[in-house]
Amino acid sequence: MLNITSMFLILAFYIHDILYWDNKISDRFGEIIYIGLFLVILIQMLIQARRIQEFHDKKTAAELSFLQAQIKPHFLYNTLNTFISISRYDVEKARNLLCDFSIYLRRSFDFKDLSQFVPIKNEIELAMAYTEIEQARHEEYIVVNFDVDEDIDIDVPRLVLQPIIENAIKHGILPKGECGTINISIKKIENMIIFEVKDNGVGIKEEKLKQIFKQDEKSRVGILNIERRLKKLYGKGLQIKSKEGAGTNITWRIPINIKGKGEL
Amino acid sequence: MIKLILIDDEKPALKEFEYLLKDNKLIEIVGMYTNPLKAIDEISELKPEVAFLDINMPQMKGIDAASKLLEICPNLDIVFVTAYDEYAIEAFELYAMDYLLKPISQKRFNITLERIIDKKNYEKETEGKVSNIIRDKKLRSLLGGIES
Repeated sequence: MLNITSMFLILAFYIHDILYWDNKISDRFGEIIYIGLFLVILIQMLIQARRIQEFHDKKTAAELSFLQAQIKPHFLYNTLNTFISISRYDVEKARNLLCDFSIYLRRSFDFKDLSQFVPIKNEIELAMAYTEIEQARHEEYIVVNFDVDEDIDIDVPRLVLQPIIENAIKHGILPKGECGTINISIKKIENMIIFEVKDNGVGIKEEKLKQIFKQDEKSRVGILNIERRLKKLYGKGLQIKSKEGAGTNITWRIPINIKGKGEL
Repeated sequence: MIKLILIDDEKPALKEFEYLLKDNKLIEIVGMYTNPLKAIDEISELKPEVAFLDINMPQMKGIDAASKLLEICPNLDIVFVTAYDEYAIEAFELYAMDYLLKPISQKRFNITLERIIDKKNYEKETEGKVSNIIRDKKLRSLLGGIES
């Protein structure tokens, strides 16, 4: 609307200007026409700058809410409680867990924004430290298997693998109330790295599965954010297969040739 | 002995309670559960007087579990335990006896134990003794004033 108005004003001023210089009209208004034009353009620039600012604010807000969701007070305090408990009867294990916890904290929070890429080994290290902690917290309820090709050395978007494993534990395995298994596989096939996180938890209801990327609920902020980032980078996001009562299987792929140094 | 059950989805957390309670001669742990549904099933047999209940569990919200437990055992005293302070008001609406934050320090835990023991003693003393109730109430309000 503002755009149309300002275009119209410019046009009006322009016509007035032509008429003035051709001596068709002779009021003194024409002398300040260029100031008028200048003002209109200035206002336009200000409006545009504000729009760009708003866009960036929105992007930052979305990113912040993801990172805030990443800082889970429940997880942090429960983890500390677990360490205190384990230290009473197995000091060595408590020490190892504290080292895992340090890795978890460093890899989760020690960065500026989500557009950074990290070596894949950092992502795997975070995932392993995280699953060690969860296994200590829930003891016999969680079994985790990693199957990772050794010769993979690429940069990947950060905070994708761990939040997906976290989802599998929280919404897949734990509500089951009995032991569940998570298989994590990272394989190099031709020029692709294929990630797979498979659990035998409670699964996702069909109608919920359809909605998973649609709703922008707070609880989904993690998976939605990951989906958007992967789609933007590689054109394809997460593939989710799930059967209620049988488990969930999430895969995604990252091409090797894209080194991923660009902005998200 | 005061009979007590522990409900927390994390086993190390249960072990920690066990550790904190091990030197207390007045309290006896009669059940430990990682699944609140199992606790609800067995509570009518165990007849505990006090329950320590984690608020955030995957199978069932602690608040819902508390309502179920209270339905079966109306005299149960519940101490809510959580890692993150977000349900305190809701918990107290259910007549929570206390509200503990994880990790739990021995010092804070002892305050909870004192409260439990005081209340149980008070209940025993006042059984059928109306005059004592009035005296105790006065004393309690006095003590309450000092504590707060």
